[in-house]
Amino acid sequence: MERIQLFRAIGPVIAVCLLFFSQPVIVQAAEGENHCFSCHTNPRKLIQITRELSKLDKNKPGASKETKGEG
Amino acid sequence: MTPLAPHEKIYVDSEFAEDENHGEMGCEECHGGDPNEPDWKKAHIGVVKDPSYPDPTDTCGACHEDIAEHYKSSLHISLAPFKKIIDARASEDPAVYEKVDAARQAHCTACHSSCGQCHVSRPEAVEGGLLESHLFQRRPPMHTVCTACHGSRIEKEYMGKNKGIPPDVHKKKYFKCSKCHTADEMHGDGNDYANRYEVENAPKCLDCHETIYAEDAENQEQHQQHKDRLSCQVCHAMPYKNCTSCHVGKDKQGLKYFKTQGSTMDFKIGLNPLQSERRPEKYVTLRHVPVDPDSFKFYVENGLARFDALPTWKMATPHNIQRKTPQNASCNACHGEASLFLLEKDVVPKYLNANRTVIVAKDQVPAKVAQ
Repeated sequence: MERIQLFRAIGPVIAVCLLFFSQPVIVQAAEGENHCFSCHTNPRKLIQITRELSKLDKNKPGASKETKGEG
Repeated sequence: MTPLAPHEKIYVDSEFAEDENHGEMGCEECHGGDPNEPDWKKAHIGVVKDPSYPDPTDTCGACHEDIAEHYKSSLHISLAPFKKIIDARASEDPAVYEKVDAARQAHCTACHSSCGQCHVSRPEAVEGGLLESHLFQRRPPMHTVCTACHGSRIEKEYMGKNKGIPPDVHKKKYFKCSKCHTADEMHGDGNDYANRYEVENAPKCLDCHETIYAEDAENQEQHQQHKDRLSCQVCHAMPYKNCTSCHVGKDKQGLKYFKTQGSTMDFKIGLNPLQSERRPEKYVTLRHVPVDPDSFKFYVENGLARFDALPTWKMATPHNIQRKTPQNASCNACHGEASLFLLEKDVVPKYLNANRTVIVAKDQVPAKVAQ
């Protein structure tokens, strides 16, 4: 009886949490399947990698400064 | 257009996996690379950033066969008219032509698009970056795709960014580019068109304004009088931007550059350089394009040896349409108003021969009418 009462009390809370905080099953599956998806959906990892890349590209020249006028 | 941070350019929304079509495919099916490799550097070996360019047949075309089959004739991908007009002006000497063609490919056709660079990412010409984090966009967004490239002339005209010129009347009605420029026009239809005005599915004002010649239509008389004599823009466009003298080259570091002389706001009515059954009007609005005999001088002398083969004042469809304009305020706001017309004195002397066919002789300016 106590167990039923406990379930009645926390059941809706768990349901709401599942609804709002869990990712759809399909997304979880995609993340689990490949590293492309898990990395490219993770802003923190991407920031880290793009910082690494920008260090490598530091001495790479950008656009020409001689460009003038409207294209 | 708000620039994207480097990580934003490649961030994929996890919602993409829920896309019932594209989300069910593995990333590597289009982009290559190794999805099982945890080291990102090794995983990216062989990765193709835009799998839809230059040939989308095996990627987009695997499902969208009916669209992709004509990709070669999409002017946004082929930029074929660039080649045609440069070839028409280029030297016939094969050695010289080869250098002109290489310069054209390096500079003029760098701003192409592709399936992906309209529906998935911003165009590479404006430094790319995923649109909506790789969620496919059925209609390419106007500000981050269309006017990201067509910015200096079309966007400024349409949005009313040129000082003193109001936004296009269609902008006030919240029209996006795709309202008039449909997918059928953008995707190509297999025909090798000489220019965008020939494209069968290109927008025509009459597609929507089909009743202007009806007996009970407002201004029916004026529309009937000028039918097939003037393009719609002659009466309904405002002053627009004209550019001059583009030169391309490479700087000391080997980086490509272009230089154009100043651009001017002007409004010029000239003789129709593309008169045809489809476009029978005698008078059209003309825009000066920035070609110059020495545009490719950095690469080769006298590259555009046949410069005079085509006018430098081209047919134009300015995107700043107004119902009421200074030139349609009354009959004589245009008739007899020589300053609206492209006269010989308006053309730079070195471009005169090229523009003989579009210059309006003084006696061709419509005479004032009795009111």
